[in-house]
Amino acid sequence: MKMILGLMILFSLSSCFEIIEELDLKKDHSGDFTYTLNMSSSRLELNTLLKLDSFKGRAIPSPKNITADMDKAILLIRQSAGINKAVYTKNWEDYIFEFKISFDSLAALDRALNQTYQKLSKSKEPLKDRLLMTNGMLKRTSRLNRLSWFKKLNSKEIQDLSKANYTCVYRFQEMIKSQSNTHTNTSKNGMALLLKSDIKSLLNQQKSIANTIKF
Amino acid sequence: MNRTLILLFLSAAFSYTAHAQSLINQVPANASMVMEMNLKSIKIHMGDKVSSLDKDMSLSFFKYRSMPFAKLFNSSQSGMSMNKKAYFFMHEGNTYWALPLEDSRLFKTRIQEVAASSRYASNKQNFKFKTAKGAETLFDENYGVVIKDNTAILTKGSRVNTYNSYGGNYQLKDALRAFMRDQGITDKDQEVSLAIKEKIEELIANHDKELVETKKQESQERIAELERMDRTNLDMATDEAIDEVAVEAAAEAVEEATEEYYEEYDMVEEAAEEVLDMDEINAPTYRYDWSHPCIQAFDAAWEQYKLRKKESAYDLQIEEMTRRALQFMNQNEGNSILSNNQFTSDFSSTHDMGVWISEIFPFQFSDMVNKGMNKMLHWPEMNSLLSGNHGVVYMDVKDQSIDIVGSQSTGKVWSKYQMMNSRPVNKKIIKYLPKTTFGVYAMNINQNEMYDMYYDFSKKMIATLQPRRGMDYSAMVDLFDMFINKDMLLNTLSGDAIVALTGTTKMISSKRKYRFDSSAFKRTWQMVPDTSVIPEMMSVFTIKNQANLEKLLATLIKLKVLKKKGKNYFIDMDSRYKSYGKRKEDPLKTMWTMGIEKNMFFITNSREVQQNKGLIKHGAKKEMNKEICTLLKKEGNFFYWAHETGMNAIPWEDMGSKRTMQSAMMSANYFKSAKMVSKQTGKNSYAINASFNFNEQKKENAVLQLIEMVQKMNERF
Repeated sequence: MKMILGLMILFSLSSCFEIIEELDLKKDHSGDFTYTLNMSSSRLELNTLLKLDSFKGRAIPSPKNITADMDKAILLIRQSAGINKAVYTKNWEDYIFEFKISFDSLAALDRALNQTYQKLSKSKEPLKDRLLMTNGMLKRTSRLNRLSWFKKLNSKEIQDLSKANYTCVYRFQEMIKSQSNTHTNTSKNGMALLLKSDIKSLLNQQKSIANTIKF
Repeated sequence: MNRTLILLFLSAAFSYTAHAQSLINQVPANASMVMEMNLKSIKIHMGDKVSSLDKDMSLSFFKYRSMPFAKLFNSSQSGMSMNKKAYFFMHEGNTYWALPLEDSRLFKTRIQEVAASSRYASNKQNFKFKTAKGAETLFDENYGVVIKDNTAILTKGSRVNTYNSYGGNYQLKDALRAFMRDQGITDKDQEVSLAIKEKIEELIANHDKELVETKKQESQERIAELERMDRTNLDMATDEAIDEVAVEAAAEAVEEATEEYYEEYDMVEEAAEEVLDMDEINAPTYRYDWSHPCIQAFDAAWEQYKLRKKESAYDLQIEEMTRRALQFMNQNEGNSILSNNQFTSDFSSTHDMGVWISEIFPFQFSDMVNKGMNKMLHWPEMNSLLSGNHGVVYMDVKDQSIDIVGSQSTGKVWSKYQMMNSRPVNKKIIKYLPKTTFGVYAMNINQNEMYDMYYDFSKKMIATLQPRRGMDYSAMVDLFDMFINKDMLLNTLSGDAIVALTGTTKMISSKRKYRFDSSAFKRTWQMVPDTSVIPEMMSVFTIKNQANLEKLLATLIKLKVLKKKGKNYFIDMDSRYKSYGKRKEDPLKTMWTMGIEKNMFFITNSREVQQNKGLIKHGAKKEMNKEICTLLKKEGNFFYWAHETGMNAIPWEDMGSKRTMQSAMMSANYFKSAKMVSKQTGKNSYAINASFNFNEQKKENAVLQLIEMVQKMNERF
């Protein structure tokens, strides 16, 4: 899920971006997971930033290096058992990057993302952001502020992320009986959930994307 | 505004004359740069606020060890007198501080504390002052303090390096190995006999003797070379040069000794590998590798030798530094900078801070810069244009402003070029500036004179290249001069121009917006306009020959660099990019509009001008910043920044950072404006006038406001 570490560095330097996490889950618990990074509103800043070697004391990765990281991430995900398809699209003109993973089960998705995160971030700590199905309930756990990259941000940098947003959309093939996150909205058809939050609130733990969904 | 700026302003003390026992007598006549600081002014203007200065603002006494200004500027804590003037000067490439003392005992104690205060202090030394020729001295390697009566001179010499990964002493070890073979010592012997010890000492002693002889010879050659140098500009004292050379020679000897050690180490390693390969073919002779006790005894002795050499190099240097400091302390007015006619006619001692730069300033680095690869720079030739240039800069703190005044006298060579026009810039320009203008940089130059200067400078530079077959490469510049279209280059624009920050403008780009329908949160997206607000900039140049300019613009249109739309010109160079098969305009390139308006060529990112298809006549002289109007009317070369107006005009809230906005607003509460005017006042003289203005509503003076502003800006919001 947070596999494109190179892009994360660009986030810290541009305060305006959007992350969209989408889950389309079928009845047999297979499905598609889509992760979109939309930095089109910071396009002008990023055009300039990518021409620099470093900014505010941080090294700026080149598009070539970022692409290499993304290739590596998608390869690692593909190699994981239970992953049917893993592709990504990159749009360097508008700075939009989209990852799409088709999986057999949520456990396979969880394993693939965790392994990839640990390998790319060279962290032994497992990913705290998980999507797991237990006892007929979908559990979304999240500790965004514990991710290795976000941990590097100081309070002033977090303050500057007020225009950065995180959106979660979960679509199912059955009716949702209940969900635990008070910031989440349910669709009219009762089979989808939507949560929108600014990243600053998530990092400051004023809001969370964690949820327990019952069917 | 950063800390460096504060330090600079803090360093500026204020008007007070106390010539009795003035330390200016201690500045040598041939100092290349002198800075005078009135410490009493610091005391008067900063008062108790001195103690609130950040501890990082400090004066360095020893390597990585310094005393914070908060302590130094407090006489009861440092022992330094705050009723006199302090001097910083450069002499033959070295820098010195002369500080007045009130309580030399206390100052000594503080210096000892500073010397022993960090892990960088050389641990072999007990930091106690020594007595030398009536003065008390404390040195730590190349740093030192010399105190006599109520004066302290801080000195810094060159560092003696003991590390270098190149070079070696393998020849000495080879000689030792040969001796060991003669003595019948085997690889397995563990004893280091007396004979071996004596041999090691003999080898090192002979090496040292040889080294000293070589260096002495080299020193004599260098002194002879120095004597051959043109004394009119450099004016170096020979005996001092000899001393310096001797110190340098000793330092080089240590470096060489170190180099040899490392080279030897590498060679032995390589040799060991080679011998190892040969082992497979022949039975080995005794090779005495690095771990052999005799070789290790040599290494230990060599280490001791290096240390001795380093210490002796520093001893020599300390002796020389002490001698110089005492020479400065004991000299009378006749040998001081007060006997330098150029200084006395240039410099006035009535300011808070004054800096004098002598005409020899650039030349003192010639010897240093001309070493090794840098020799290619041909420093003396490059600086020959500056020969005879000298000047002063003064800084005074007024109630709510910090004023800077400077003047420069140019030498015979530089005076040939009258590059600065004193007349104001085109008076029509002001009509096109809006009332929101908050920053202007104006220049009025004589392009022909500037071309002549670059022509002569290039010729001098190229002439220094090593010629082949006696060729004079400077003729290439003549060739360029012959073929260039000087009418196009020098007569298209008249040489006066402004760059102004005129307010803010909108820049419209696009961004992708994702939408989720309400029934099932299905995703769709579309590109929507994305408007950002950026500072608006306008450059205006007066045209001398419009036909020339139009010809140039027409050529650029043919080359697809520009495109013309109505009266205006726009950038056409690669200004589109493809996104999802559609070609889009790049707003960063398309925002610039160019055009010709009433004999003026303009470039701006103003949306208003772009949409208006031409420059807009505002006629806002009466509502504009008064200072900007006056400067535009009277001056040709100036810079003005209306800080408060600028900070209020820039839409910080749209720029995404609350912190930056708060900092900007905070600074506007203190700092109001900055102004700098420069002009040519005569054939061979230039003047500069600048002021940094602070809030007149506040009762604190400019320095206190500056300190408070920086402290508040550093606070976390």
